[in-house]
This record gives sequence, structure tokens and C-alpha cells, in this order.
Amino acid sequence: MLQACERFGCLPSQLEAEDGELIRLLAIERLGTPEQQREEV
Amino acid sequence: MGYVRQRKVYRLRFADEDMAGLVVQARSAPVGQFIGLTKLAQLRGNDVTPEDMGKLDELFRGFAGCLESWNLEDSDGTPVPATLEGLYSQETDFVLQIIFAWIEAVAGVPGPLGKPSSDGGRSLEASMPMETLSSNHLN
Repeated sequence: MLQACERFGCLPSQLEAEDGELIRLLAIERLGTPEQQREEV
Repeated sequence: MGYVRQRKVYRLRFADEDMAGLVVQARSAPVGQFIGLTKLAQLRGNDVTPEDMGKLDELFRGFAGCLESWNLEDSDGTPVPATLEGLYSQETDFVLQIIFAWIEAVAGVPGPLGKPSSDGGRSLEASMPMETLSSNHLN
């Protein structure tokens, strides 16, 4: 959550207000990211 | 006059024999609420203890707020309302199956039932948002 906030430059409360579909987009991006480049979310 | 963004509506269809023909339409939820509901959904219908009932109630209430419509009917053909009361009128496992499918559709990640299970699998169809409805399409 905090990493996502850093990434998008927003507060957790703002991130929590985003549509749940954001989780899917992050998961898709993660699938396309080499394992050694992944950061735990 | 302000603009209110409409949340996506997912149409869930189930290919499981027991749930074939069921169509559920449910909106997505904000990330914060969705994560909370996903944690609550770690409950398994068979494993629910009296202490878990509060969590189950919270999960059902949260999902009821996103449930738009369904074509569920009672055995006598009476439509079951797509409300919290309607959810509570059904078997817990049945409702959890719907909620897990909804979680998978919104977030694209398997819900708890994605794990190996001996009680039958879920439909892949349920994991695909079939369409996004807007007010324009509804008219």
C-alpha cells in the first residue's frame, strides 16, 4: 500500500478511494515484471 | 453540478452445474473497502465459527452494497431481492461462491476458492468482467 502511495504520489486515503480495479492493474503489471525486479507490495 | 464517476459493473456468470444460469451484476468497490472485504473473504463456508459470524456479516453487508442485481429466484419462482436480506436468505456457501467470483472479477486474482478444493471448481467465465455498463448503455 505504502509503495503504491509513493509510486502514485498520493496519500493512503486517496489510494483507498480509488476503484478496486487498480488492484488488477497492479497484478497485471506484476505478472509482466521479471521476478528479480519485483518489490513486495 | 458535480460529476460523479460511475463504478464499473461486472456481470458474473457461472458455468458450474449447480449455478448454471445464474447472472449477477455487481459494482466494483474502492480499494480500501475492497481490500477489507478480501481479507474477510478468507473465511471458508465450512470453517465458519461463531466468532467469525461478525466477519461474515461485515462481508455480506459490504458485498450487498455493491450488488446491483441478479436473476436468482426461490424454488416457487419468486425473485430473491438483490439486497442484504436476499443474501441472508441463501446458504452461506452459495453467497460466498458469488462473493469470491466477484473478488476475482474485480481484482483479477483468485479468491480463496482458487486453491485446490474437492467441492468442485468455479467457472473461468466468472472471472471475466463481461461488460462495463454505463447509464448510456442502460437507456
